[in-house]
Amino acid sequence: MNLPRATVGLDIGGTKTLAALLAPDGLVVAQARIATTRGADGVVDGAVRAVQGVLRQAGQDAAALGGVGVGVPGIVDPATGTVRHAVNLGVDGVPLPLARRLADELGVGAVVENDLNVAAVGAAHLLPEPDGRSDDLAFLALGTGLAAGLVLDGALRRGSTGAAGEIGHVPVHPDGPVCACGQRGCLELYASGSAVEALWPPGTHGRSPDVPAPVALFEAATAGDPAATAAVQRYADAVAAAVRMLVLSVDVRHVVLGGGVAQLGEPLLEAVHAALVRQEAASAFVASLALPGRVRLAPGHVPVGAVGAAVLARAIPARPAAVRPAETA
Amino acid sequence: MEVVIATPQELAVLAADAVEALLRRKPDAVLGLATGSSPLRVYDELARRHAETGLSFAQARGFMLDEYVGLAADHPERYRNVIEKEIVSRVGWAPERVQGPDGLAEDLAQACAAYEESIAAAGGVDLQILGIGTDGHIGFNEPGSSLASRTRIKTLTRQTREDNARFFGGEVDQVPRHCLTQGLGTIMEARHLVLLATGKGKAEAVHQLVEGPVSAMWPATIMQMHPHATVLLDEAAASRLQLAGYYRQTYASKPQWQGL
Ligand SMILES: [Zn+2]
Repeated sequence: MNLPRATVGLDIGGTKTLAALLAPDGLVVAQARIATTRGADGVVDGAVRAVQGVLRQAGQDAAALGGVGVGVPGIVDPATGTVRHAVNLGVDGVPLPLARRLADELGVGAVVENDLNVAAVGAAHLLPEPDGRSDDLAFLALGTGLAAGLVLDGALRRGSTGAAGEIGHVPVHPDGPVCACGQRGCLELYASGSAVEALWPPGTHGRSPDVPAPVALFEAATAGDPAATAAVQRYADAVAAAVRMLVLSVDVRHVVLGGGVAQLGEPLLEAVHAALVRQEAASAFVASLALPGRVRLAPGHVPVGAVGAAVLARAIPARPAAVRPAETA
Repeated sequence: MEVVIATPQELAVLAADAVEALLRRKPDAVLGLATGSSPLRVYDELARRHAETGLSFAQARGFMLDEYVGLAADHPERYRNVIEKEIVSRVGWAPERVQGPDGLAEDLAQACAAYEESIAAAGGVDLQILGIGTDGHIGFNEPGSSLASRTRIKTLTRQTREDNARFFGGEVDQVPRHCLTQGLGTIMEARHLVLLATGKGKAEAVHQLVEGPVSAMWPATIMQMHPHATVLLDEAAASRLQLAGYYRQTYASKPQWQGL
């Protein structure tokens, strides 16, 4: 018999690695975080230590696990669990067979996915649909860049070449500044976390450079600063445009706001709601999409990406990859 | 703060009643677990109820108060292993549903922050079981601890290390010097605090806890600020209370249905 077992998920970011332990019933029971070490060996070693850390918190060892899932910011081959290219992790040039190396180190099976995909799966797990409806959402990451992970009709949508959800590089202002991708006026330049820093640079407006730009901007707007209020509106309009783009492309039931800017919580959600309502006023068509009701915040206190990685690890067959029988010739 | 003075066995039954009432009302409740001698009878009583009446911990979750830094994963005195033996394994609790701070983490500050996140993500602690040290510490929040502190690393006092040496072959040098502990601010966020104290040695700490001024010198006194704190004492631990007669009277006239 194949009883469900606990799994561990990791979200390996450029600076920190987040870990989550998922109980067999799907409950997130523990989380841990460690600093990320760059380079292939550093990534593998850090992943092993993060798994061990979250297991120690729960008094478990790897033998109790059904598998390990990993989300990585970069280009991943999920079929083989290989990281082809992850600049922020110092993995470029030589592909890193991360799933195989983790399986060897930990003695359990491992899967590797792109970080946005695990975040989308994590959001679907943490924000389940009522009445047994299948999950249907976009996880819109408002971070350094802007992109979405998609879970459509209950299944992860990677795209035929893995580019699904890369809406940050849809040009929205043909006369806009040149984007790193070579195009002009990409949505990322207006709706990402970096866009907030451009609107309200850290260390300006009398705030310490240690205060994150989104916090400084939204606090100034709350305090009644007219420039800040206008900047919040401009930013929220851009996020609202991303929401509209996702709904018009794939008609997801929910758009979950995540990434650094989403840590603002309710104030961000309110601003985006207000922007969507403004757009509705101008267009009966947009109003018919009922956009404001589709937008929600990623759950707080939980590493959503790590949770999604742990969810993906539940699909790993009981037999550990490390002792897979040799292929017959 | 409610003070109950009774025999140690009666106290254990009262505390177990509170846990059982919570689990019946909310099967996925979050329990705060303490190690030490005081809660042992409570764990015995809960184990008995699990075995005899089927009291279920299957959906519940647990968070430990504290952990030594640096004790090997299989060390018998590691609090994680102690709590496993004293309660988790006896009530059919899936071990992964019970968490403790990671005293073996390479980055202890990160481990503490992650532990706070784990508690918050669970929705906070519903009922926290507590013991008290002779110097008034709860968790490993020794005298001088910030009353608003969060989970963090602390240095054990010489006194606490000597008190605990009996668990380490009588050798003080074998007792770890550091620990991770939920802070007083963390503990205060639990929705119900149930503190047990027995024996003459705790009498002064109990007097301070219940009747002294709120002070970092007696860290447990912060519990006076908690809206729902229950202090369960035997006669010896209550022996220095100035208003013991009043507490007895209050408890005796309390309606039966009210519970703790
Ligand atoms: Zn671009």
